[in-house]
Amino acid sequence: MIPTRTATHTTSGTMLAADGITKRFGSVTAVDDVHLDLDGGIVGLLGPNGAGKTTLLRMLATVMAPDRGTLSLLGMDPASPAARTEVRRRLGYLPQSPRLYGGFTPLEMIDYVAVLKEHTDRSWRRREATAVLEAVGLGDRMHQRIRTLSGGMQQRVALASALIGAPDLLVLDEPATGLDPEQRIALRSVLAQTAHRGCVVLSTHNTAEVAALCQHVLVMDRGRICWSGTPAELAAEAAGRVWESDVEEPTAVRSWLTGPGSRRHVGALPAGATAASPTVDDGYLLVTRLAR
Amino acid sequence: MSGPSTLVLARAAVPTARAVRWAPGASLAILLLAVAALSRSTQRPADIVLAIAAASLAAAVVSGLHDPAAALLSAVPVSAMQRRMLRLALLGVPALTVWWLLEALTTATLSGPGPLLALTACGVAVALWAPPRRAVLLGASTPVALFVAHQAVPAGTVSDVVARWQSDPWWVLAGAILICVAGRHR
Repeated sequence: MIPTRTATHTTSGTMLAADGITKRFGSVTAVDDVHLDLDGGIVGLLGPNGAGKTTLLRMLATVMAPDRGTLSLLGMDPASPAARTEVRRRLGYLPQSPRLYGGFTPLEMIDYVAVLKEHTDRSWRRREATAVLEAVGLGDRMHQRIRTLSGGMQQRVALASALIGAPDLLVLDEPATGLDPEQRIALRSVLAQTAHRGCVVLSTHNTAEVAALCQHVLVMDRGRICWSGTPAELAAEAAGRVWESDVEEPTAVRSWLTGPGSRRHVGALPAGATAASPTVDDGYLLVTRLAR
Repeated sequence: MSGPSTLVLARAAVPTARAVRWAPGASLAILLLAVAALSRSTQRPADIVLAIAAASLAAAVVSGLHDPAAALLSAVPVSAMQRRMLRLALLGVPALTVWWLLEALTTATLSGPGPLLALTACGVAVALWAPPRRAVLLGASTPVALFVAHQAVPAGTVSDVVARWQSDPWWVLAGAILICVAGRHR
């Protein structure tokens, strides 16, 4: 169990709000006029590579300021340095492909992050660091040098560092990278506990992860949120528009092989074809293709 | 709503020191001390030794700003600037100690820590304003570039400007600090 803390919800009840936030890098618009209003729970961010997910998450984690638009995190405006510091006290952030100090042990690494999160009580830090490392399944490795751990274990150390201090807002960029199926299931229960008291925003390429974990899904493409809803609603987008056959279908929006000689298609159902049961995958492929 | 307390930074000092790569700086210090001792024993002019020492020690201090876990720590309440200042304080103490040892070993006209501090501040200023991916590399290169430029540029106006870190180090330091303050939120 990860340690719990009484949720300190904002007076407005909105944990995270974005109003027209935009971020450009030179001539490239990475995030384009994004509006969000999230109260809590686990929110999955889906999208193809280069869709702007990481840039959006970096802004939600106060690491990067938007060029245009306003953000409200936990009821505060992170544009002000004082408010940004206060938000960071209640925020956990896991960047994409994080690097750690190889010479530290997981316990030392988490303890260091806890110090930088302004937890000065040594015994509290020790207790919390042990708890979060046990929550991510590294209880038996906490005294081993990080450089001797596998990639998946290092990813879990980084995840534990985001969890320390029971944050109200957790921003995770592809948290399941490098985790095996068993670890992914463990991750789900850890995130579910955090979501119980706050808001978790995570990006992933894994639609099964989203279906299993998230209460809300945002689909991004070319810097914009092109779809928003529940995983069931995303799957329902493809209802009556998915079918399987042994041959290529020129009318399909997307087709892919599902086995030897077997193909799955999304798009306008041709005459005579029998609709298959839609999945989140189907819905995602359909909305990203239709957004273009 | 306030910044981190001194207690937080004090608590962070030991793990931050552990996170710094000390071996390159220590090797450099030993090399510089050996060269200074050699120049003293042979009674050769030591000005150039101290100038090289200022540039290389400043480069070593600035390169200590490299933090492999910077991305992971980018959203903690202790800001990137505060973490950099902590690293600089930790790296600055041994660098100044080496500098004073070098001064004691040599009889150069270059005296006081001004040139070392000026070059370090220039490097930090460049590191703060350079693109993040190359910030530390460019910052650490700055003291060396200033030294090389001073040696390579023929006497004249440009040479006088480039040599300010030696002739007017405290003014250069003040200017570089102002640039650092302007970039404190970077």
